Amino acid sequence: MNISEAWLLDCGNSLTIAVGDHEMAEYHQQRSYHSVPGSPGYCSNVLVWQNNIVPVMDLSALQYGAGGELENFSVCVLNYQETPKTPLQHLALRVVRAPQKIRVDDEHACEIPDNLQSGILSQVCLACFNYDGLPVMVLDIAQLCSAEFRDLANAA
Amino acid sequence: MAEQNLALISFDGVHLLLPQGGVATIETVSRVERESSESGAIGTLKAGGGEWPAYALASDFTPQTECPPSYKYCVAINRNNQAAFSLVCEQVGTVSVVSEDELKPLQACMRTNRNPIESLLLKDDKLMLVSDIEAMQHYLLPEAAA
Repeated sequence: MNISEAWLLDCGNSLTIAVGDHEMAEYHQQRSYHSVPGSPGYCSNVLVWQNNIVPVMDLSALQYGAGGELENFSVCVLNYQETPKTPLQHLALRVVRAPQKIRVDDEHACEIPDNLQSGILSQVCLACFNYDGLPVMVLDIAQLCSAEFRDLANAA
Repeated sequence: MAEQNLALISFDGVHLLLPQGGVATIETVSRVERESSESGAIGTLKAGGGEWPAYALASDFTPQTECPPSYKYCVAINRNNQAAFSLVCEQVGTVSVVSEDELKPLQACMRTNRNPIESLLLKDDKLMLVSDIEAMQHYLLPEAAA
């Protein structure tokens, strides 16, 4: 049995995803954000974090097409690498509550349910598991930030 | 990279940077004649024998139909020595970029075909949006830029 540590992120609208323990950098409440005109509605803000300019993505808006309030939301800053041995990059995900650290084992693995399968995020889903009766997708953050996925999302 | 001077054009909380070499003239907004054949423009800046369609952008870069009272200046921009467009704004300045590393390319997930922003610059505790003249012209006047 393979046990892993992960973080559950509640992205709103009953969308909960998981990222690996090593991918979580920081959780922030009520940061100030800067708007970047012309960017997709689900990723139209950046925050300045440790002298990095980090895109802020709203996965709920991406999955369901509805944007949330842009003021006073919290974010989880994540680490990712485009490929191994390349510099760390960062993405901030909008969350509606503090992330929860959990332990997951292979017995919790499940198929992606139909209601999530039909959404765009299933294209970057590495795995899915049940946690407290809730289906949770594990996302490939590098792929989520890629030009290929952006083109797919913008065409959807 | 040699030191690069960029024109800082500020409006509605936005700090937009464009290549300084493209700035043809800076005039007061009173020089803008409130008629224009260009879609989205508030009028035409006529100065020194040149004519530039004048745009008043909101913070989301949506062209405004009326010039906000706080927009006092109009910056005329040339592309390849031809009048391209002008932007009305609250403040005009110059920013020097000494290293390419200062400019952070806009991440792939934030780019769209319509996005005129090429990179971002954090300077003096301000986030500045870096564009180029061709990209801005394509955004404001897609037919003219083609």
